Amino acid sequence: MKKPLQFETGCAHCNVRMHSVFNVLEGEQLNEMTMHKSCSTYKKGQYVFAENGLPSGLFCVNSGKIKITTTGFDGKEQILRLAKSGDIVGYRALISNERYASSAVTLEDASICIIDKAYFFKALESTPKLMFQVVKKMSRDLKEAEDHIVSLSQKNVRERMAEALLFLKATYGFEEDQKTINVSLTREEIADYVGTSTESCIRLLSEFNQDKMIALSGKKISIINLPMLIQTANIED
Amino acid sequence: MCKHADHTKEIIDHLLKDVYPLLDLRINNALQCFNLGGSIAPEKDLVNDLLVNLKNEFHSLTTYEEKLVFPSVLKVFHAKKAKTTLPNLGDLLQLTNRKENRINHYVAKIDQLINNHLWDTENQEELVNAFSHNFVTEKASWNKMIQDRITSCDCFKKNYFDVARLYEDNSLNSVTGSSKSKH
Repeated sequence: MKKPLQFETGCAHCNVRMHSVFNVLEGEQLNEMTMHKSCSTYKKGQYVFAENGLPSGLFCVNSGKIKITTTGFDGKEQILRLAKSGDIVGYRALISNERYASSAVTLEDASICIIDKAYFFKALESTPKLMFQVVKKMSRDLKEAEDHIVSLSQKNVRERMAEALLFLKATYGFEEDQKTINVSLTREEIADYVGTSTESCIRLLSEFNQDKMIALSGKKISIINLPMLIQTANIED
Repeated sequence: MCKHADHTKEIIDHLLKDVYPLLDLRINNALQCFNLGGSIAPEKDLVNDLLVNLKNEFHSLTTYEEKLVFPSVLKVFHAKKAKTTLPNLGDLLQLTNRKENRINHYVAKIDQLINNHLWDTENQEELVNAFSHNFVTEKASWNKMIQDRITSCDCFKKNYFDVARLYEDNSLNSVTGSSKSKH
């Protein structure tokens, strides 16, 4: 019976391999890897692996885009990162011998190879260059994850800054121009309300100013776009 | 001076001196003792993140209340005549209520996660109990007291509504847009 979703091709002839961690393999090593992998095509929206599943091998994306996602506290999907042609996915759970902590779902039609777990471990042991490539890949992904954490925490500080300005507006009201908050606070004092450093406070106020949410004149702060400020504070009805 | 003002001051002192320090202690205990158990259950990371969020939100709430909300409430009592410089209590209370809701949400999530787990959760359970009982009860009393003052205390009511009217006239009462319907 014909299997339209299965195809096999040799790793030696794979163009994508040159952009992946396997670009250090050659000759017999490539033939051996071809013997220990299988390739499949996936339709858009299909799961490559699912959260809590047990890894049986390493996925190498031949073509197409994949999202790596997990479920947040509120049940909402949180995209952790995206993978493209030449990327390996599912390596964290595989190497640490744990269940998948995230799911991989195709964003478009994709072809993906799965490399046998035992072979992959053996190849890592016998080929230091491959081990180094995998460590480099992990380091890059870790850097991306760290950047993501920083951007999330900064978003949180933006919300708190907007909230602080709303508190100050409610407490002190506006001056006669109906825009300027009727209080003069130092940047240190505002930072104390927000719970951030003075440097971050100065930077955030400057960003709000650039976004035309507020206007700054010395210690005075005018609210130019109140709806946008409320939206930034993430105050939901 | 209005007799209700004194009673309100007593409640504020009770919150700041008795209730909040205890809750702060519970958060610190829950956080500091959390990683001593040795268990590496994945839920522990989630609980730890929630505890940090709870600590930040609680600290933020108490800071705003101590520096802005409580002085504003007392100011409304003591004002002889409402002026534009009086605080907009309606907006302030809505902002603090939203922070209280976020705190209760974090506590409920922590409660869900620590149930049925094998690691020692005594400090987290104490935290959940303290927030579920002390915090919820005390804040409910506080909010009810404010509502009572708005409806029954003449000096508070007059200043509260005069300010609200001023803000509405100036189209300033717009934190959530819902204060108007309340009045």
